Amino acid sequence: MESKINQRIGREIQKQKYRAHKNSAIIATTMMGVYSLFLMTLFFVESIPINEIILYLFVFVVVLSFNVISIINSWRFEWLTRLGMLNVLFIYTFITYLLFNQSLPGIFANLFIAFTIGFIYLDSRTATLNHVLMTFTSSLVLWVFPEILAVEESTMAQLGIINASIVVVMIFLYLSAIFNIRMKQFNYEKLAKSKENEYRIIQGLFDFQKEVLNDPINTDVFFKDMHAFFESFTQKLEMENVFEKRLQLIEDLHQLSLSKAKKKYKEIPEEIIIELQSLTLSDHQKLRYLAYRISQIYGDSQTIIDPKDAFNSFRHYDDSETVKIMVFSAFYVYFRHPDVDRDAYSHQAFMDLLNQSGIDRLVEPRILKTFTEYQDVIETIMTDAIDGVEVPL
Amino acid sequence: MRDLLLKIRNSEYLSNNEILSIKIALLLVVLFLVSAVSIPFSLILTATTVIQVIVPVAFLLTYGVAWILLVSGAPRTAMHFSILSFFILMGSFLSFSNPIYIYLIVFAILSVIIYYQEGFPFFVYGTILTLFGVAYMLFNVDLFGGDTTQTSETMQIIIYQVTLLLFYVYFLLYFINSEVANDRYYTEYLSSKKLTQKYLENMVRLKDTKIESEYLTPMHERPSFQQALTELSTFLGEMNGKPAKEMQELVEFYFYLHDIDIDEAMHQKTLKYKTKETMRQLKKYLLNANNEFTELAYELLAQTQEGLHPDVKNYETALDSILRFETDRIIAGAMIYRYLKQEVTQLDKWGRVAESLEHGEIKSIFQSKAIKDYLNDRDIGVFLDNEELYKKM
Repeated sequence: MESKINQRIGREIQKQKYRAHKNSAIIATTMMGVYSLFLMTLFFVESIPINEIILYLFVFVVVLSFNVISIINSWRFEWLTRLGMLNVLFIYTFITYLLFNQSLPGIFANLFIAFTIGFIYLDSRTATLNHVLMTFTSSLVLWVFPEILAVEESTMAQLGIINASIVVVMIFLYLSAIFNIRMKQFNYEKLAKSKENEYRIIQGLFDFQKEVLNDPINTDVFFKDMHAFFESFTQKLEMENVFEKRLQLIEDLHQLSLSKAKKKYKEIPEEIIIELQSLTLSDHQKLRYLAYRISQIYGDSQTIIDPKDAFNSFRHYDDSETVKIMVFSAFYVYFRHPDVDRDAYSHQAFMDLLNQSGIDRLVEPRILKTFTEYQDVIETIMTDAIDGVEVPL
Repeated sequence: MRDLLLKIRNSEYLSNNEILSIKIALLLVVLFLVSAVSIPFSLILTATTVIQVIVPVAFLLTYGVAWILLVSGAPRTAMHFSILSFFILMGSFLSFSNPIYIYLIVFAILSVIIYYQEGFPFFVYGTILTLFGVAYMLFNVDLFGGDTTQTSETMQIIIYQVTLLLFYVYFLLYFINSEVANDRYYTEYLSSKKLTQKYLENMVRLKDTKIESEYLTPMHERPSFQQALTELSTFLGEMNGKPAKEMQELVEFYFYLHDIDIDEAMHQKTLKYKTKETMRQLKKYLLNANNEFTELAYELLAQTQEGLHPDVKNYETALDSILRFETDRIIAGAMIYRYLKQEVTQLDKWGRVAESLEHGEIKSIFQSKAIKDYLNDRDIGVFLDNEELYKKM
């Protein structure tokens, strides 16, 4: 069961990643298209033989078509990633080829364009390839064609310093790209988890509301109202009641298993029965969640949450150290006590949930470490407090 | 250093400001090393007073300000000063550099701006630098060894200019794409967060109802909770080098805040800044309100809930992505209406979860922009065209 939920979270992450990658692929393909136009113009002006120009044009058309087809046909995420890497590899190879085989003035500067195109892809493997190739090709240019940088009478030391500068700049940009990619990846995960948690939190709310208000949903009355509504609805529209059978099936799905429902409603395809299952009022199906979600639209004041307040944490950078220690202690003590809607948790159960939810990452590692290192002392403090014994410190 | 490496490894869990601070610190360290080598050279090799005096002084000034701002928690302004100090440092190369270096320096400065991954500074500084780069080449063709009568040398200048322009435009596109993706992510994440806050508001109200009706003691008033938190915070504080007295005073203040109106207190002119600052930091972690503490607590508790059935494949909310037939969507729409009309989802005027929605309120929801996430125009049209029938449900 857990694996199916993880699959759902995984699918959501993939969906987000795919959307971002597709946008990057569209922009990078457009960039390559514009760059190819620039190159072809350059070839004409520099009087490169027409058969060579046609060959170069053909190569670009093939590469661009391949990109366009993959984007239009919404190829899988992994394909888009590989395609990004192939594009990066192609563009550096092409420029390096021009450098060695065509005496085009200032063509080495085109490496910057290749680098920009590679930078568009928000994927760590493509980013690594892009930075490695940029470092490698620019170093190659430096050592093979030092005259480009007007260092014809250069010493090894001079070239070495310039090369070291290139490496330093590339390391910085790589670090920055990786920060950005990891942040985006984390955001996709956070969004998927937030969606999963949202449904789980409503579940807790349903359970607690049922307990406090003693007002469980009455399925019989609910469906009686629905049958009556569709009777009047079809009468008004002077049509046959095409809803009745479907409604009956949804009602039956509260008691019948899927296999029994399939036997009873042979004329309805299985995939439709599965779809209609989501309309039952049972816990864990979609309709109740959607209805509750919609109910919260009412009275929505359109208040916008400031993105800087969007992320919950026990380690806000502008909170003092003492506050960080105290509030996480409060969180711990809170869970070690029973509340009106739950039982108390043991130290281990709390730590497991903390880890499972990913909240452990939102606590200063130093503070969390103290919790693990001094578990016995903490356990004594908790037991004595709950038992009402004053502990001198 | 270990702390810094740990932070870089776990960068995705840091806030944007923390990441920015790390980036600035890294750049400033490298700037220090580069300046230690390059400034003495420029002093020896250049004859102009501007380079000999003004550049080092301006660099030291901006560099110092960047560090001060970084340490005093203003990373965004520190970023601008670090860019400025890099800019000035590059200026020290001007007098003895070949024009091609000026061109490469423009790329180096652009790279530093890109390194910060901030769209607006790139737009402002990038535009100025690119215009400068293009104009510099335009007005100093001779410096590049160019002769306007010779095609290949003119072409070289054009290639340099186009490359710089493409580099700038491509990165601008990259930042726009990045901003759009971030905006979409924040919109989706914040709408999920906002809904969760509303569910938790209902949860907190239901807890209050239970506490009142069963004469229970709220968590923050329970002696065992107070004792455990005092003892634990003091112990953990001592383990992390904080005086016991400071921790105990903070815990006392934390409990005191549960009984006062913090927003009103924040406006009192007699209160010290430090006290207000602590109040601001603690407000989000109080136990008797719907706040960050509540959200984190229920995020943790969500791990104990099953939530949606494992076979439900995604978090889609639009009925037309869940149900393929219009008949089924009409049934779903009617069921949602019936749920909203009869089930308790709203607060009454005393702030208790006790009310359902009335027809007019549901209609306003069905006519709102937010409903488009659930129903398409046809589904809404069915409701509006048969409003009187729905009303009788």
